[in-house]
Amino acid sequence: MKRTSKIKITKWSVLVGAAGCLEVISRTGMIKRSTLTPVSDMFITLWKLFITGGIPVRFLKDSSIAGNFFITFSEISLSFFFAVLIGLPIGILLWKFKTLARILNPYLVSYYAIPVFALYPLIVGFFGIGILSITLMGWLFAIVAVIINTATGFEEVDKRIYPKVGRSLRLSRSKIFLWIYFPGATPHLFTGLKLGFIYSIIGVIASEFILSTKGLGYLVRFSYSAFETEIMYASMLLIVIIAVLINGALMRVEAWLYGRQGR
Amino acid sequence: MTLKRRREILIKLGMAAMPALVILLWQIGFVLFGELILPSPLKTFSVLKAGLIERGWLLSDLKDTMIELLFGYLFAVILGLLVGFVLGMNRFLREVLEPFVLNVYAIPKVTLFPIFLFAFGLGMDSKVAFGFFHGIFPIIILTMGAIKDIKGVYIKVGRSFRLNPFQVYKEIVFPSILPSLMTGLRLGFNLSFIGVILGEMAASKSGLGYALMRSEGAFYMEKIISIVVVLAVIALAVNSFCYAIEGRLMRVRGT
Amino acid sequence: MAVLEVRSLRKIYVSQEANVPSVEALKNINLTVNKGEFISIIGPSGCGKSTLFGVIGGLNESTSGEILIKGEKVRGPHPSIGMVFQEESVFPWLTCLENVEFGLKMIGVNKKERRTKSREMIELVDLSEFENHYPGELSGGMKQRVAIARTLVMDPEIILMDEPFGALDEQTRVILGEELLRIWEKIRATILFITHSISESVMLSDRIYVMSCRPGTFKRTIDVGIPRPRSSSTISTERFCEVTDQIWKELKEETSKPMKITSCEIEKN
Repeated sequence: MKRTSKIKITKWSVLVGAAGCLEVISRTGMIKRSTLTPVSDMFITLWKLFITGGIPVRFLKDSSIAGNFFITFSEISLSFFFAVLIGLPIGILLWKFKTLARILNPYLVSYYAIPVFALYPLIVGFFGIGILSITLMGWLFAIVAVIINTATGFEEVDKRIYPKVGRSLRLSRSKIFLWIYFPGATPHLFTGLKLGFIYSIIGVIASEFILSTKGLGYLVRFSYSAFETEIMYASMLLIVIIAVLINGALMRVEAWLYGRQGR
Repeated sequence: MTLKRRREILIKLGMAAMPALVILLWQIGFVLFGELILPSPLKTFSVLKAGLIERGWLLSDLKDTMIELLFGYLFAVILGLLVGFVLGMNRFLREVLEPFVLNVYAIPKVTLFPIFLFAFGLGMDSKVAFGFFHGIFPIIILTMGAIKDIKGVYIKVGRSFRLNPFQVYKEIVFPSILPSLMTGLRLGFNLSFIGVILGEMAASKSGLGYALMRSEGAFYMEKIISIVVVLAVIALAVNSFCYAIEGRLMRVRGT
Repeated sequence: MAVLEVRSLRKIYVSQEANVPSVEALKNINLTVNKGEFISIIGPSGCGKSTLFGVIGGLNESTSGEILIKGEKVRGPHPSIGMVFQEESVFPWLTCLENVEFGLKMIGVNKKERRTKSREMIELVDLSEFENHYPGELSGGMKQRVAIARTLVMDPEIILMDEPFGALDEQTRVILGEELLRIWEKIRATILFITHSISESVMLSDRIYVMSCRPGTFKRTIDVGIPRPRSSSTISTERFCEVTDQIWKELKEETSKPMKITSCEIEKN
C-alpha cells in the first residue's frame, strides 16, 4: 500500500477512533450525560440549532445560533481589518526606520509572552462590556503578529539580490517597492495575515467566553452555566470545526505562496 | 567615539527609555483627563507596593497562580519532551499526528475550558490541567522539529566512532537539539501562563486572573493595573532569562 | 598483508514498493590498499562512490562480498577504519580541541592523554591558534581540517575520505590537497580517497581506481607513477598529463552513456 494513503487512512482512523471512544463512553453512561454528550448527539444538536434557528428562548437573549455566529464573525472581521489596517503600515515603518525597530524589538518580541487577556478588565473599565471591548481585545491580540511579520517580510527581500536588480534597471523607488518588495514579501505578509486572523478569532471568542456578552464564545459559556450540556458541546464543536477549517485553508495558501518562491 | 558606537548607545538608551515614556504619557493622561478616566501612576504604584509588601493582598493570589503555573508547566515539559521526542524519531507517527498538533494552535482553547471544569472541578486542579494543555503543544512541536532536523552526518560520525546508543543521545542528539528545545520550553511557559490566567479569569476562586475579574471598590483601576504589572514582570523576567540562554547557545554554535 | 582488501563486493538496494525496481549500486568491487599507500577512487557523480564509502566504512551493509582489514573480515564500523565525510561534520557545540578529542573521549582515554594527543594533531593540521574556537567561527576549509585531525588522532589503520574537499572552493581545495600530502608524508597514514576531480586524484595518489556507473564497478586501475615528494609544479609534467588523459578517456565514456535517473537518485544518499 502506498505510504501516503497509509498515512491518510491512519489519520482518519485516529480521528474516528477517538470520536468513537467518546461516543461509547457517554452512551454507556461511563461518564454521565450531563458531563459528556455523545459525539453523534453533538452533531445532531448543532444541526438542530441551525435549521430550527432557535434554542429555547428561555436561555438566550439572542436565541439563534446564526445570530451569535454573525456577531462573532463581525467582531472577528472588524478586529482583523483594523489589525491589518494599522499593523501593516507600522510594520513597513519599522522596516524603513531600522533604529526604531531595534529600540522596540525587545518589547515586540515579548509582547506575546504577557497574557494580553489580563488587560481585559482595563478595557472593559474604559469601554464597558460590549462589542467594542471584544473587538478591541481581538485587535490587540492580532496586531503585533501583523507588525512583526510585515517588517520581517520586507527585511527578507532586503537580504536578497532583487532590489539591486531593480536599481540596476533604474526603476523609481516607488516602482521598486511595488514590483519587487511587495511581491517578494508576500509570503511573509500572508503569514502575518494568517496569524492575525487566527489571533483575531482566538482573541474575540476567548473574550466572549470570559466576558459573556454575545457571540459563539458566549454561547459556550452560557450553556455551561445553564447546564445545557448538549448545546455547549455543539457550540464547542462548531468553534473547533470553524477554527480548523480556516486554519487549514490559510495554511494551504501560505504553503503555496512559499512554494512558489522556492522556499 | 565612532558613529556606530554612538548609535548603539542611542539604541540602548531608547530601549530603556520606552517604559519611562509610557509612564510619562500615562501621567500626562492622568493630568489631562482626571481620575475618573485614568488612575494616577503614583497612586497605582503605592497600591502595588501595598499589595505586594505592606498589606499583601496580592500575595495569596500570586502564590496560587504560581503553584498552578509551576505544576501545569512541569507536566507539560515532561510529557511534551517525551511525545516530541517520540514523534521526532518516528516518521510515520509524526506525519499522522502533526496536523492534529498544529491545528490545535488555531482553536480558542478557552472555549474548551468547561471540559476541564467537568473533569477537575472548580479548584486549582482545573487550572493546572488547563495550563498543561496550553503549554504542551509548543514543546511537542519544537522538540519534534529539532529531532527531525538533526544533521544526518552527525549521527554518521557517531556510528563511525562506534558510539553506543546512550552516547549517541548524550553526546550528539542532546547538544544538537538544545537551542530549539530552549525555544520550545520558553514558548511552553508563555502559553502555560496564558492558560492558567485565562482559566482563573473564566472560573476560579483564587489566583491573579480571578483577582483581575473580581477587583472592585476603592482603587479598583489601580489594583487591576498592579496585577497586570506583576504578570508582565513575571513574563518578562522568565523570557529574558530564556532568551539569554538561547542567545548564548546560538552564539556558541555560530548560528 | 594488505591493510584493506575488498573482494567481490556487491550492493543492491532492494525496493520496498511494488512498482519501483531494485537497484544494483555496486557490482564486483575488488580493491587492495597496502600500508602507507594513498589510493584514490574516481568516478562520475552518482555512480556509487559514496555508497562504496559507506559500505567499506561499515555504515551500510553489503549484499555480498567481503571486506578485510589486515586479513580479518569486518562488518560494521571498525576501530581500524577512520572516516572523513564530505559534509561539514564537526560538531558546532564543541570547540576545535574538544571536537578532535571526541573519539578518544568516547573510548575512555583519560583527559590528560587525550588533551596532549589532540593538541599534537591540531598542530599537525596547522590550527593551533584556533583550538579553543568554535567551528562557527571557522571557514569551511578549517572545519575540514578539524574533521581530519579528529580522525587522525584515533590512529586508524586506514582512513577513508569521501570527497572531503568537495564542498570547498577551488583554491581552498588545492591548498588543502597540498596540506593533506604534507601530513600524509609526515605520518605515512594509509588513505583511501574518493573524489570526482581528476587532477586531485592524480596529484595525491599512488594508484587510482576508475569507477563506472550503473552499476558501479572498477573499469581500470592506473598506477600514477609520479615520484614523491610532489608539488604544485607536478601538474605540468608530462606524466601528469598522460595519466589525466587516460582517466578522462575512461570517464568520458561513462558520462556519455544515457542517464538512468532512478539509480543515480538512490545512490546520492
